[in-house]
Amino acid sequence: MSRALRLLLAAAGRTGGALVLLMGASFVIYITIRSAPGDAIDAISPMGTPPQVKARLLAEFGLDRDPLTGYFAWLFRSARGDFGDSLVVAAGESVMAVAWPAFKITLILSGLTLLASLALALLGALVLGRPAGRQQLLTGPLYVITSAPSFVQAVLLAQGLNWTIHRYWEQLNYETPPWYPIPIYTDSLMPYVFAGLALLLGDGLFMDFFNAIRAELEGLRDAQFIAAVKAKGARTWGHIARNMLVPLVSGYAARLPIVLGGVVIVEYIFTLEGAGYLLLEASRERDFPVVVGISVLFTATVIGSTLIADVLRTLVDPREVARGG
Amino acid sequence: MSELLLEARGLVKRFRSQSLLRGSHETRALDGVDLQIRVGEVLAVIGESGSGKTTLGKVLLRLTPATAGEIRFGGNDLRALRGKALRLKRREFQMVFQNQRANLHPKMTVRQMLDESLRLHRPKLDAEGRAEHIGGLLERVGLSAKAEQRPESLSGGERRRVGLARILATQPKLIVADEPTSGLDAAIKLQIIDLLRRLKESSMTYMLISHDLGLVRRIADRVVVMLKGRIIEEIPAERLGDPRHHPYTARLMRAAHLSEDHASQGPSVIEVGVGGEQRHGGCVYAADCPVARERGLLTRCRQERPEPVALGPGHWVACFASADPIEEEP
Amino acid sequence: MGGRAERIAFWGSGAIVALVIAIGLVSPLIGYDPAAAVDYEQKLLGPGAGHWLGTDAQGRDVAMRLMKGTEAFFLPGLMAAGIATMAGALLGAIAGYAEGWGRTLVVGFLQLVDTLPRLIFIILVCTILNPSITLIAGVAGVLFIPSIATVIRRKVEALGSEDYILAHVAHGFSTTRILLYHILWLQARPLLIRQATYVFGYVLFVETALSYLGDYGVQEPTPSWGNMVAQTRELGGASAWPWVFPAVAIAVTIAAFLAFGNLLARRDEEAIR
Repeated sequence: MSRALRLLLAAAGRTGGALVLLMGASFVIYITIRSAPGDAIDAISPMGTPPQVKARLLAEFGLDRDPLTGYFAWLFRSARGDFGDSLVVAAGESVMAVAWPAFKITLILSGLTLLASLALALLGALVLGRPAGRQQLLTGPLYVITSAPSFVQAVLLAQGLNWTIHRYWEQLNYETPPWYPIPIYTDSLMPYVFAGLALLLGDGLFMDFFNAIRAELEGLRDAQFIAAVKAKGARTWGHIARNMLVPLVSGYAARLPIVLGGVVIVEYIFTLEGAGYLLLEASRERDFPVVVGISVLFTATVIGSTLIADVLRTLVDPREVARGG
Repeated sequence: MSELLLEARGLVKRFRSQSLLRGSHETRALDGVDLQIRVGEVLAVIGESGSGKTTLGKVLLRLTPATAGEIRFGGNDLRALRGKALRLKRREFQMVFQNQRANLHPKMTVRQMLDESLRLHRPKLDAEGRAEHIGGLLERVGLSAKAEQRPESLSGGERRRVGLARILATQPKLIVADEPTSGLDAAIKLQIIDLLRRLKESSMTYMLISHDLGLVRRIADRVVVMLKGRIIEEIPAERLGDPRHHPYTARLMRAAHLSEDHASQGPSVIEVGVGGEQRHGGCVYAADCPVARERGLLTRCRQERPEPVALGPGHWVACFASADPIEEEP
Repeated sequence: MGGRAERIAFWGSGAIVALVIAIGLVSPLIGYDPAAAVDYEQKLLGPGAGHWLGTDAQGRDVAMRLMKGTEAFFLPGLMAAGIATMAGALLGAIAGYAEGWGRTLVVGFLQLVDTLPRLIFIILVCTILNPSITLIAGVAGVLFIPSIATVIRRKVEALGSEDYILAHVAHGFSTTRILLYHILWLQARPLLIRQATYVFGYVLFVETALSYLGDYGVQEPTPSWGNMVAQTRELGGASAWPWVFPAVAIAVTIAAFLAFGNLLARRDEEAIR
């Protein structure tokens, strides 16, 4: 078999596996809905829902059937991108029409934050080199600071900014920035930057990345083949870079769920119109189709990113084909 | 001739690796092995790495399931034993693993380890009885002073002796020792050999898996030679000087002699390297055999499986060209 | 490894962990009536003699609420850590040791749970069931089973390839004893310590996050570090005293638990090696 064909087969296999996982996860979500106490339909509809809407919900979630056939009915509708209509937060609109634009914002925010975190960690690891005693004066406090949850970072950041502007800006009669005071609805991009910063500094993400990258670099520097390359007098950077690609890509994918967890609350603190904010709004208003739709989107993203990392890994490292196939 | 302790007939062990992309691939680690071990003897299994020696040991002791064949231990059908019955039977046959990390607990002292074994295998002993027993065991392996130490502070040879003490705690009838001296320097090796010999005198039965001919000469009673999952020769240890051998054995011995000549104290470890694919029809050595080529037997060797031919009391080879002594190569 | 900095980090984080545990144990013994604590005469005081850490917008003592706030996550956190480590260790051992259908089933279950984004799933559960913190912690514990099981599974597989398991089978030990005592207790303990403290930290995060958001979690007037931080919303920028200590407490406690778990595990690892 040619290499290309084998890679294609491996990729197809992984994709199939990912789809099975997505089905399984959506089943868990569905069963959670069904596990609502009492009459499920009352549990998942907002107060004062008119009977005809309740009947529609009943049909959409297959609650009028046994769990298995109900699940498949719901799955087939969802697979076509039809998660029903929003009940409260954007009453009457289809869930996808509401959730998808918000989800794109969340995805871009999380993706860029993760990328920035990775770049910073890589830079830090390269600059600092091997761990040495005195560095702990720097990495120690950084560890404490970055282990805090991102929502705490966001609160501290927002309050700090508000206080600073109030204290200095306003006293000096400067014009306050459009995003002041946080939280406020604004077209400004700054709240997104702040949210990214809070995510970057929180949830242990940065130090985790930093330590992983440093360990990987350390291992590569000590690796025999690098020594061999060095002995031949060739440059080692190309080899190190190629070998770093795999751990970086899989590290990126592995940490996406962490960021996706933090982003929900951080969006809420900075009132960004992302999927996390929407999720919390919908959850508060018991807008059930929106909650479920966003949950499925998030789950699909986690599975999808793992899949992409897997396939990329296969491309970079052909041994993986034999191992995984 | 003393009574049989263990008898294996027609043992086959196949490893099958299945891959969606490559199809299934089969290796035969054991390819029809017959073997007998008598009470009180030391049987050495020699061969280079990959010949199936270790697999044979593990299959005989029910650590790896055999694909086919029969194993009888002291009259019991070993392959039929399951669960608790098998676990209780295990005290009668013990294995010294080549990997010392596998045998010992890093966090337990020597005494704790032996105590744990005694609790398991001698449940009737009380704390005092166990303590007494541990003292006796440590004395037998010469480690009385090290009872409270942990593996990290023991030398390689001492660790092996702890492993042996632990095994002796079960009062086994049979010990399978897999490369008991590998990785040890000459002086410590001698200590271990000495210990094994003393234990032999107390009528312990051994199966010694080794590719160290020096060790084998010192303590074995009987030697079988393995190659690619088959036993190709069996010979009493005192007849190892007989010039008639299976061509592969001859080559092994030459290699061992050479390395012994180079450094008389050094390791007489054999490794000749046999290449080529596994062939199931004919002789496993056919592809590399100089004798087969010389005598024009190649076709036959490749197609027919050679039957054992007796060369003397307790000595046989599975070779079509066995009748005459194997000439030394120039 | 180690050195002075690491020793300082170990004992420093250990002291914080011990303090939090001590407070968590003692706090339930001390009576506290949030309604009686309200005193508008004394609101928004800075740290001082009468109120060490100041008072909040309703004049309630911040230090007292900080202490009572540990109850919100202490027992739930322990429970979640217990569920996750015990079930994770067991399922990981099965996934690394067993063969055939049992293994497939366990691995499938682990993969499935592992794909659920934790906080989003917890919010989903909250939306449907509006559960207590205890139940939320239980869900969090279950969501962490796969990551612990994966670590244990790798350990078991590594030991398997080292003949460690086989040597113990050969010696006559039962599978249960080998898995539970020889592997999980003697060999995998550092891994379990590390994971357990991580799960505890996560429950602290989830509890404070939900209580901060206000819809689920601990509701006023019952104190939680999370709903104390949420006072930023009512206060605007009026005073920082009511929320800055709980915010720092969350950050420091989580950091201390993670660091202590890590360093304790590393010490244990060195002892094993």
